[in-house]
Amino acid sequence: MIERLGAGDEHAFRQLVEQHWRGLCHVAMTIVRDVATAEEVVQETWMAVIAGLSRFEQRSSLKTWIYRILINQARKRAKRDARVSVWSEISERPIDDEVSPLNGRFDHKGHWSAPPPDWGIDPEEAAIQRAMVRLIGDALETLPQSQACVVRLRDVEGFSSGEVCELLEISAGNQRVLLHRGRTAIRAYVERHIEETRS
Amino acid sequence: MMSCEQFTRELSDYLDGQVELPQRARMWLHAAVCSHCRRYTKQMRLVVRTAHELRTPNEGPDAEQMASLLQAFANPQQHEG
Repeated sequence: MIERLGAGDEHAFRQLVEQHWRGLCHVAMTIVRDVATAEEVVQETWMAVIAGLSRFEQRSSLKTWIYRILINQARKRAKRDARVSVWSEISERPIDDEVSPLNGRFDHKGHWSAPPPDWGIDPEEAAIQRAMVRLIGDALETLPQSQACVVRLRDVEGFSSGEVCELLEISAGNQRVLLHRGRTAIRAYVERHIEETRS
Repeated sequence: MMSCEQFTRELSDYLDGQVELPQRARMWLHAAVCSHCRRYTKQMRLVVRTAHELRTPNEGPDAEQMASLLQAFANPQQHEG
């Protein structure tokens, strides 16, 4: 791919853009939280990719390099737009003060007092799978930015924990906590939805 | 014996293969006797697995955006800096 891009292969470039466009938009959205701005950031990212292609040293994968540019662009943009919460500050803030979605579910010994209910679904069923995908997409929208970003990169885009730490410039411990929080909150969201639909 | 609360706190790391022995063994032992935590694990696995399905199909930008990118790609020297 790199060779073809370097040789100015337009078809290869178009393919690369199509492959990553939506994923980049979704991740940008977790930093700027507005579709139009996210698309602008992605457009700027591709311009920066074109400008930097000849200097790309293949120390990381092409995908990681593109996401790295995206995250820099998105953070710059968020800062410029003077949003209240700039991600880089959130990500290194102590996060122990946050209330867990599992609060109140355990007794004083740490055993379940309100155990997880049976969801009563067959996850192999196609309609259930589609509904679950939608539900998890909705749940992601409700997460704090930093958690949504980590879950998107790890579980949706499939980056490794090391890559995500590098991309977001956060510690391994922080990455793990954000991922744990995000996944726990998504499961809780699904559970709430299932309980509501039943009652 | 590990508590359920501890188990749920370690689970995300466990699913990532980030929990080392002997802690991993403690989690196996706990899950062997705790049906609630087994169910919780199943649900978490489903969430993580399904999240990957959110990967969007290949879909580029609109025609106008693509055209301007292709133009920039054809003339990279104008955009360097």
